Amino acid sequence: MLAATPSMALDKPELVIYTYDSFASEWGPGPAIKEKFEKTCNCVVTFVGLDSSVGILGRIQLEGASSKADIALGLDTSLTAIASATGLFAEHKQNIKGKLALPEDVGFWDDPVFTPVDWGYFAFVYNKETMTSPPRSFEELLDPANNIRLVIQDPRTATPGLGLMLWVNAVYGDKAPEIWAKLSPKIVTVTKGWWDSYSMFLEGEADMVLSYSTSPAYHLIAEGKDNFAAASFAEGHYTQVEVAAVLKSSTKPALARLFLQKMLEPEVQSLLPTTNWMYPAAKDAAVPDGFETLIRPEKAFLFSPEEVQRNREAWTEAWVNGLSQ
Amino acid sequence: MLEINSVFFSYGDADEFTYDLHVRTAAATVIQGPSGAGKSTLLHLVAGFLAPLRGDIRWENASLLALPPSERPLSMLFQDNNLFDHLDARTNIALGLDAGLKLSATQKDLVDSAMDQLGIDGLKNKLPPMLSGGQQQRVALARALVRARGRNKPLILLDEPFTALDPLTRDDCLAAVRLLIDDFGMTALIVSHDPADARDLGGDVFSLPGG
Amino acid sequence: MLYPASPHQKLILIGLGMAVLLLALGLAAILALAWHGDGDILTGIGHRTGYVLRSAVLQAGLSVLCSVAVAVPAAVALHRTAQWRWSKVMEMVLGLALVIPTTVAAGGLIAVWGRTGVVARSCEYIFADAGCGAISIYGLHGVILAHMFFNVPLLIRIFLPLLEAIPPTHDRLASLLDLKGFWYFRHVEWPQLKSALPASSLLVFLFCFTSFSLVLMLGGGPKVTTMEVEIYAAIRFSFDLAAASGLSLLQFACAALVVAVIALLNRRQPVASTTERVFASSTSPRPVRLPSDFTGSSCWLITMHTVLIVLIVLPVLVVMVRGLDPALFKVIMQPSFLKGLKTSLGIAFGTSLAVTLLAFLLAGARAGLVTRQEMKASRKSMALILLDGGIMLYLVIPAIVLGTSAFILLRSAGDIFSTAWIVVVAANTLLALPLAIRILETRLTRLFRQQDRLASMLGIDGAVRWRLITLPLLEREIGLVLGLSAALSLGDLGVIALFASQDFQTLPWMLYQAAGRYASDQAAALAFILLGVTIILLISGKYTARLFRIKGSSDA
Repeated sequence: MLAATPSMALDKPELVIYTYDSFASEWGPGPAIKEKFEKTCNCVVTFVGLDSSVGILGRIQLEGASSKADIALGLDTSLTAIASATGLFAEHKQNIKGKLALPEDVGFWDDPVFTPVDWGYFAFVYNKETMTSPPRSFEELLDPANNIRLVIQDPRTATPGLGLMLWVNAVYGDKAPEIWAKLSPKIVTVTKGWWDSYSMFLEGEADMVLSYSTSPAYHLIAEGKDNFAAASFAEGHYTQVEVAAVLKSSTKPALARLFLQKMLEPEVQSLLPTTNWMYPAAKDAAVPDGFETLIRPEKAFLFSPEEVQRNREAWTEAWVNGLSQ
Repeated sequence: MLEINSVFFSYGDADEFTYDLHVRTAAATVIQGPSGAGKSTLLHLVAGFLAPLRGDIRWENASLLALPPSERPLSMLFQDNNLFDHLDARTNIALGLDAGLKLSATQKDLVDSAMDQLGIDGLKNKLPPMLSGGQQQRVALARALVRARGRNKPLILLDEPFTALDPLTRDDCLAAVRLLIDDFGMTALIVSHDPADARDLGGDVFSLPGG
Repeated sequence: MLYPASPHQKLILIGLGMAVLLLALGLAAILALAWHGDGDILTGIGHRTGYVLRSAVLQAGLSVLCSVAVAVPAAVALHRTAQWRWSKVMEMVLGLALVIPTTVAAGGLIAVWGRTGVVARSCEYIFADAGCGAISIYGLHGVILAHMFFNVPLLIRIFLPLLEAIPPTHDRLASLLDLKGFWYFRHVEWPQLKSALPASSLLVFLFCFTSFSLVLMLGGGPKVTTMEVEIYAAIRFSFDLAAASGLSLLQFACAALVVAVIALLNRRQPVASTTERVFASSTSPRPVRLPSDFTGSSCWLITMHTVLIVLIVLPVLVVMVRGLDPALFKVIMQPSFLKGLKTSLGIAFGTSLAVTLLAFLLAGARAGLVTRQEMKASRKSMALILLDGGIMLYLVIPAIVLGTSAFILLRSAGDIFSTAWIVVVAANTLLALPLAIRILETRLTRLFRQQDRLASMLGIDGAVRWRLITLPLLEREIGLVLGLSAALSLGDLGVIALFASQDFQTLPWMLYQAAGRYASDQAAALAFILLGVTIILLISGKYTARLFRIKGSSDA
């Protein structure tokens, strides 16, 4: 697997990258990226798979300045504010202007510390066989007349849950509390993790599940099933951008920055869609067949890390209150 | 002689008991009285499961109070739970001589002869749940006998041991107790609420005032 | 000295010492968080906290009531039908239900009670759609149902041995008095169970009070919640360790309050005279066969069995059936699978050993204290409260708090990854201890009561006593503790999540990973394997305990 073999490490520098487990596992992009990078770097790449993107940050925070990690890969934009606040991350010093293929509405990526790796939209996924006319907007979703049943995650325990919360606030601003109240009767349950709700959806317990716009791609490409799709909302979708950063405590910052650069190169970026099931962040990366069937919302939202940090607590409270009706 | 001199005991807030009696050696003494009078408590005090607040308990002119139950010269039969159900009759008796069950040849003979004397030698390998009530009590008595002969513990305390038995079995067991007293010189202190026990055993009767 | 030293004096002292140590360790773990994080310990406590506590207490209270309400008649029914072969199967399934990992169980429950579950589909089939859609498992009732799934088997496990220890004399009395059915229960069986109720209910309450994934998965929304959610969020998403610490302390304080209330209620036990104090029950572990006149109408017996089947057997079956997927072979063939299996078994073995040893120590100390109390006819002592407190603490420390603290404390000691094994075993041990202690303690207290005086008089004490007299009669409980603690650690996901790495994976962790990459078939296969290994562990526990049998002892 991916553990560094001791004999090699003695000669070559070891680049330790904290990421989430599915990225690092044999089914994820990790192994291939490791191979590609090691060809040119004269180093050893060690991925450490932590339980989630939140887990990555958590571990780094626990370890503090003496962390073994050189790079954190797979943090989510909703966490970047907290991450910056820890003061543990260093500037990436990369020139990525014009190299990114993020949605226009997201704007110019000017974060000095975090580089984007891949991205996607949060969306409600449904089964075309059981839902023949999906809602095409939030308004339609919220209509009390339909009896759509949703399953979502808790924003306090899962990133997609947090994503939905940010999404509603991005679209509705101050009216968010009303929206939660309207959404509440349609919600089957709120789960702790993404998988809990996704499996419930697959079992048929709910008509729609809060997931990623790229989820149907997995079913299409890996399973050959084309009956899953994401609902595209006219109001727009919230984006999730996964990022990477170098730790200040790293003893090999130059090497680490090289890795960040590598991550944005086409040969690495084109790995991502079918292993991580996200869109590549770089402009000239190839996107596999099948991805064209995915929704492409007209409008995209992304709060700046500071906005997230400022409002998260209040928004979470509104979410809790709204759904407790 | 067992002397119980001005022993005072109290369970805390309620019941208070005072005892003053002498128990003759090689004889039976029956303790009578209504329920709650403190009959069992007396036996527990003599056995060492409880300690008197005041007074002394002496055997052959030496105080017993400093000794734990296993070092006192006595055996006790409770109302039940006299035997370990998962060990056979012979082992139960052997435990009376050595907790580790390492018996010398002499000790083994003692066990066999005790079983013989009490008429239970056919029950050696039987487990207590398979024995009748009367048989179980006789196994316990056999154990007391081997302790009397093998470890110099001639005093036996019986706490209503035959109450649950039918009249015929009861008679058999009382006869067994008489055997222990007459043939082996044991001293028996028996708690009973049945006046017939006192009558059938002969010996002294000591009545405790109402409960 | 008024009361001669209890024969278990040394055990009591060691046990108390252990409990104090555990208590200190637990509190230290909670406080370590506060110390490591900077920030006010009180920040987590806001205006919503009151609601959260009320919701948790309500849910836990109802769960206890419902669990007891089902477990008592179910235990009675199982006891009265002990000779049916089906009852043996039922007992095994109940044992299994106790240790199934929560996510796996939740999946099974939803598969039975959910919108597209077995019940709903049968309902549609029978009633053709008339109002069947109204059945929704999500909400407070769903959480209670899920809690019953775990707690009814637990309670039955505690009640059955008590029922089996009903003395033959009681039965003779009952037939003399012509007590049938309900009256037999009222006068013979209920008194036996009554004594175990307070402590068992407390255990169940605390389990439910600190429930996490079940509450989220089946609660239907943030209306139904517990402090665990807040604590988890504080550590994970806010990274406010101090707040998490404060919340944990609050949770502990609430639990302590509940324990105190129950302890107070318990004080009203009347002091029995010496003759009554002797429990006239046999030490024989063989179940007492009931003459069929006592059983009462078979109608309700079958009803109870059916309730148990629907409530517990069905979800377990569903999980097993779903796992029988061709993906099973794919999963087993992976090299990482064998490694994960080995790690899981290693942890299970270590936990099992540690739990059994510690549980004996603490259960023995508790039994010794209780019997000493009874001898003195005095009310509860500080020592007992201290002992219970130390044990109970681990029911209310969230796994994530333990894990994070361990992580923090270990980091200063050196490389985390090499000590991870020890930490995971230690944390799992602590979390399984309360249950193990409860199981052992019920029987041990009885045994001590019955055997203490006889053993004192005969001078049997120390190691000899344990080897000869106590352990042989505990075979069943030892087997249970060995098996249960191994199985419980097998299903843990909370602790391993913080320490897992490529080289250190367990089966539940692999399940979680499979799930995270959309591989639901592999996840189902892993769930099936988990169940299978759990069954094997439970059975192994039973057979390992046979080592304690001695020649000339009766069959269990």
